[in-house]
Amino acid sequence: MENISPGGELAWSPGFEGGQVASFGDVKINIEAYNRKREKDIANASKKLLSLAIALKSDLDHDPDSDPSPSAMSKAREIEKLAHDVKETMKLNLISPH
Amino acid sequence: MYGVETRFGIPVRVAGFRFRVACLAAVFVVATACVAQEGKPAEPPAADATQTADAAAHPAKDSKPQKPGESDRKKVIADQSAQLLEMALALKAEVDKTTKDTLSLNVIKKADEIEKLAKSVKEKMKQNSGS
Repeated sequence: MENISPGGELAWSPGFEGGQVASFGDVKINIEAYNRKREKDIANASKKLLSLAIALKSDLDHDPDSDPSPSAMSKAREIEKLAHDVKETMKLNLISPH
Repeated sequence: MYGVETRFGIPVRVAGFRFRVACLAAVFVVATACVAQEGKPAEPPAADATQTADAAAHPAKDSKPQKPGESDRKKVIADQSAQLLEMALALKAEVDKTTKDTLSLNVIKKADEIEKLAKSVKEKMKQNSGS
């Protein structure tokens, strides 16, 4: 059976800014930079998610007897998508071996 | 007491009796009219009259017909959106605690719950707009 695990070919080397760089063939990932961006993305997404949740509640409280507006529905959809992104981005945490 | 002399050919006693009967009849008629007037319902105020006229003109304006269970669904949506807000606050607090090198299982768990709840709210809203 063919070994599809990247473990054998994954190489680690010191990066440009002192961080570790993971190399997989031609693809090089700066772990430090990646994790920094990941942290920023998660923080932005959770911030946007919170403001959308506030806006959604405000929309529904404004006129509780009427049907939910298309805007409220779009907010719920966006919240669902952002929560999914936060979850998946948080799962992709790269830890260097050094 | 009564004399027997006549006036215009009618005895005075007879004329007095007729007069008294006529007076009694008049009093009876007036009394009946008063009682009938008191028995009538009071006139409604002008505002009530306007509202009644409005209601008659636009019977479906205020009382929007709702399907059974629709108000319950709206209440559930409102409750879930409140819960969504609480969970979003908790997620933000949890994210603020993590650093770039940490993998927070709490964040993953909370984000997953929010995703499911938001999906449920979205589906309920679709049911509302579709009905």
